[in-house]
Amino acid sequence: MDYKRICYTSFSYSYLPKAILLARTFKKYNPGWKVVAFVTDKEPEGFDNSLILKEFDVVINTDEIGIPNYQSWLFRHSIVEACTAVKGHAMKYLLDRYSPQKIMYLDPDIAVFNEFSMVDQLLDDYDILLTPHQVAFTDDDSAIRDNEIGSLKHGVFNLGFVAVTGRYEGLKFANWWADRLYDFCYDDIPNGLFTDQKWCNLVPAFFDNVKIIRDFGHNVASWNIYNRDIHFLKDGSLVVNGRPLIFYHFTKLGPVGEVMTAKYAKTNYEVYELWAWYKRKVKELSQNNIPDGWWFYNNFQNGEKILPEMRCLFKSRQDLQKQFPNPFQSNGFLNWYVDDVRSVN
Amino acid sequence: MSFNFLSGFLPGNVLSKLRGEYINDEMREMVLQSGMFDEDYYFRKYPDVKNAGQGALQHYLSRGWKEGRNPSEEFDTFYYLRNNPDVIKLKTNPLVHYLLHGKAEKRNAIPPNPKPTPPRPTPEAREKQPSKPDVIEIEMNSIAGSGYFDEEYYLKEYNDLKANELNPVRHYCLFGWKEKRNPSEKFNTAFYLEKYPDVRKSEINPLLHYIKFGMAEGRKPLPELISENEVQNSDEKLLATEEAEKQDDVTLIRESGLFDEEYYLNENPDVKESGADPIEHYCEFGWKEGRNPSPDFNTVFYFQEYEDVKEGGDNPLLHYIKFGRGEGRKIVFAEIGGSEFDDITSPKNNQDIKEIQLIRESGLFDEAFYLKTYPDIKEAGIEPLEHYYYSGWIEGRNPSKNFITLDYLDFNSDVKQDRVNPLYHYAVAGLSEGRIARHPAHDYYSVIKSEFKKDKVLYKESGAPVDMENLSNDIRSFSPASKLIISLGHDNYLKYRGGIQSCVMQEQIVFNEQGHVYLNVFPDEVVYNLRNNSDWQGGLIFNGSHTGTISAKELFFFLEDIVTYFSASFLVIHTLLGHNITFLKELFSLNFVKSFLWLHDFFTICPGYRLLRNEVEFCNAPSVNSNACEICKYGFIRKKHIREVGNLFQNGNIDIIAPSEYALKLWAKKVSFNYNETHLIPHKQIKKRGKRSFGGIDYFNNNPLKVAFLGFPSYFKGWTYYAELAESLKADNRFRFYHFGRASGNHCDVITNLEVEYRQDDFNAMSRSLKEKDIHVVIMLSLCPETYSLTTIEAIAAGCFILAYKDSGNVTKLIEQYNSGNVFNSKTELLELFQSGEILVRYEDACKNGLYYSDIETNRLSYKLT
Repeated sequence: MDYKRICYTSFSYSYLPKAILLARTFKKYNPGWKVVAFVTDKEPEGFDNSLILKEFDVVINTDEIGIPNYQSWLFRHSIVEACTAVKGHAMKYLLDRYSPQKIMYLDPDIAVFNEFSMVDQLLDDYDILLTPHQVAFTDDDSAIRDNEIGSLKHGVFNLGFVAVTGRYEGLKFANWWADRLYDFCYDDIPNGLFTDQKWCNLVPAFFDNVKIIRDFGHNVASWNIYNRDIHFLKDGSLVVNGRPLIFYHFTKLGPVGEVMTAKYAKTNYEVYELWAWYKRKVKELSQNNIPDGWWFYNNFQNGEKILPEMRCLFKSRQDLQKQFPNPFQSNGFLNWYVDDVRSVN
Repeated sequence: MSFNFLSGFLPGNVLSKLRGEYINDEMREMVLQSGMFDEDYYFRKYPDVKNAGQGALQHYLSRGWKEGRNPSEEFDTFYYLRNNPDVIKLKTNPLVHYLLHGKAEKRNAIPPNPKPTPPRPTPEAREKQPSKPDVIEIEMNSIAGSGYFDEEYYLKEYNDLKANELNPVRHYCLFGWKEKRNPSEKFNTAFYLEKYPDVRKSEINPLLHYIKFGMAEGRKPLPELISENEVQNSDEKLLATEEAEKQDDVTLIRESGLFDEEYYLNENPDVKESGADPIEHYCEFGWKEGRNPSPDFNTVFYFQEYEDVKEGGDNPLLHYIKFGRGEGRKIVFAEIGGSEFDDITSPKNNQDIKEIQLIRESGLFDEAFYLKTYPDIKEAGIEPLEHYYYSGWIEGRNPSKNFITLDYLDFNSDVKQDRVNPLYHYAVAGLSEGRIARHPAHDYYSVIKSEFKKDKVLYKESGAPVDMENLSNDIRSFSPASKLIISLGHDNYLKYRGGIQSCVMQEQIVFNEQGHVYLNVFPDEVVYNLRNNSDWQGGLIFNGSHTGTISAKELFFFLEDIVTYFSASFLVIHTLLGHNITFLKELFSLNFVKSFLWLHDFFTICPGYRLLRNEVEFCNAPSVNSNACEICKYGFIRKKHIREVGNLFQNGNIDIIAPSEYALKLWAKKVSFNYNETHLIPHKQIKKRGKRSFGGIDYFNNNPLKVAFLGFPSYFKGWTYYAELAESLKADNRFRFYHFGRASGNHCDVITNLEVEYRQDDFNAMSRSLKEKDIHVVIMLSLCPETYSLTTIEAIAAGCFILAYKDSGNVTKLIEQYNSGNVFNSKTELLELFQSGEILVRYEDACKNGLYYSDIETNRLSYKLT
């Protein structure tokens, strides 16, 4: 099998419909790439796993990719943190396992509308590609606050997309990113962290051969739609400020995403057509047996819900991490927590 | 195109309302034309109607028939109802039923063997004639002499009637039995109705029923006369009847297309798990538990909104199907209304008063807008803000043009979840938090988010089964030398008005005039797609008479047979919409001299037959693999659709008829079908009469330029743009804006609405109205390409100068052909034309070059080619 070019994504089962849509749209325009799914979850009872297998070339559970002390490490993360924290290790894993020439990560809430030809070509000359949240500044006060300041808080680059080569600089990036994400992939803005994303502010400083894609057709989303106009040409193709739309990042499906989109897309109705399509498709693909808000790692093995304060405590105490290598077990950390913490409170 | 059928772009609930209004119009027209309504008779017979100052026909159609009044001596309302229980069930006006179906089905309008009908008297003679007793009088006579009516008992028992001057028997016949009053000690009205559901269902006066039939049938007038055995038997019968009634209800709902089984099961996993039939569950339990039958229908809202439904404890969906829909009652989306039966209109409490006051003081509620937009509130004399506060928002009404209730709820799930009045929320929090009160692209957004359901039945045309023998005999009464034309339409053209329907009717008249047989086939379920269902049924209209409904199989055998009877048969396809693929394949295999396909729309290219991507923008029918088709709501079935249509063309023996060169060129460029010849037949033609006079440019120093929009004020026809233009220029005295068409949908203060009454045979009604109002400029803003634009023809015939949007299809060709206007490229350019005053100069130039008054004449359509 030819794994020279790999696109991968990372998700838990509740994001499966979106991830399937990503895989389908990506393959439609990019048949030369393999699509790999990394799942940080276990399926609910009665779920037919063949559904997922047929959508991707390879499906890998992140408990199989050599993340040290997986259970203990996972316990320290929320669902979003966990699914982003595995991205670095997953990249390393793919580079080791398949030795691809080119590798690209895409968030599961992305849909693809064209061939990634620019990315493909740029990776011939560059080793790391990133897309900024915004590629042009604005004078609009509200957009400065929501978007530019948003980027200062959450990271200049949107890590819904990153692409590297299998060459030295690409491998160096993968190792560095995986290391940082292992220890510091938290949503902790006051301490300068925002999951896997903010780390990449350092990429242009740390690595050579980095290319920042400032093309309007890549990674279009509510945070940059204020200066991007989407239209259809007479032949039915989608363009953004005259450039082909490569991929749209449908971040925050639901009222929050809709409000931000309406606020900045204003009368550009083509954007609402995209959203309406996305919602329709996700709904269609949601006809499986995944309960709302499902994440296997939400609970201890006995079914009791893991509270954020439990994760927080465990994260902050290395002694507990040592004492309970698998904190999900109900007779371990949970017992200790109930006896020692709850009884005190 | 102007020939898009109105219904295509309207949501179901709006559609049914419009249809309700339309049927009423048609009812009036049909009844008047039938000669079976005699206004003099009605007023003479029912002076209360005359004294109340009501129109006789309106009264009869709306209430009179329910009160048993007769429209003329030629029709006995109650007699007809009594003898036709199916009509009672339909709840339809019996005279209209008679004219539409009963007459053809040879039902009696008056009792058989009546005394010979004297010739209709002259008005003078009528004055002198004693009036004939009406149905109520006949009932009264039967009851009064029966020994079962005790006047003394009645007046004593019901004190309230003493002040009433009405004769007690008459009171009982008109109202008393409905109020469950007893006529004497010998007859218990409530018992009789409860015991005998057939009587209850038929809505016949129960005492009359007892006297005429019940007594002979051994029915009991009083509960104490029932023996124990009878109680048991009768209970069993009752149970059986009730079960049958339940099944009828389930079938009615199933056939209505208003129940979304998939939605119901997904929303109610408990029902799914139980394996119960979703419709049966809804009828038995679901509605009582406030569950919704589809995303479009909120059970609780309907139940609480309508007192009669609430009082009757009726299943809301069933009520809507049976009555509400026809009466234009409002429904709201499932997610908007409540899910529990709490009384939203409960008496005001202090908190309500405080909140209402706060909204009032915020200035966010526009009372004038509310009353203009919702005339029903004005008519009902309800305080508008209170209405909005208590129920308007639940019904999705808007408190001002800048606050869209549904947008606000869509954007703010917290507000929706808490069921807070959205305007109140906006006033106290949303505004200061910068929440969005109206989607910036509201008009597009609401169209875009509406889903296309490929198998959704928009409406169903129910008809009695076709009497094959009769029809066959009728057809064979024509000489085999006559031509047989089989035409395909998408609905009953006798009933629904639209471009295609009008063409079919015109065509039928022309063929019939020449002595040929015209048989129209239409799907009984109107679905905007090709069908593949095995239970597909077609409606048949033979030479302008609706003959009923028939299965695809029977229809094919029937057509196969009659095609061989005639020496020359032709197939004319006006549309394939809603037709069954298997039936079509069989039909196409029959031996027609020629087959024609009309390009009234682009359904053969895409199920979105207007070629509007997601219904918002002309798409130019791109490749099915394009981004546009990927994200368009029609995209997912387009590939299959084109393949299926293409298969029908396999033999290459179909001729194409286009109403315009524009339609033909676009279509031919986009298809790879194997067709035969092409023909160009415009629906109408114009005959110049005289040049429009022009008072010189100085005329406009003192008079405004009159600008008009013609037709239904829909998004697709560019109404939004037109309203924006008028709004932008409202302070500019040089212009005055008009709308010619139905008022509904025109909520714009600065546009004067003028209704135009159409008649099928009056092609010049619109242009006459335009001439009468001396309209100078007509703006054609259609967003979808018109295959043929009747309104443009009407504007040209009225000597108007036309401004047309570049993508409006044949419109641009027509104004070029008749030298009657200009094309503009964008909204901005259009506004600029007015603001700069350039439009006045252009109008002047056009007048100098000659704008003509003309007559519109119809074409002979397909007849030309047979």
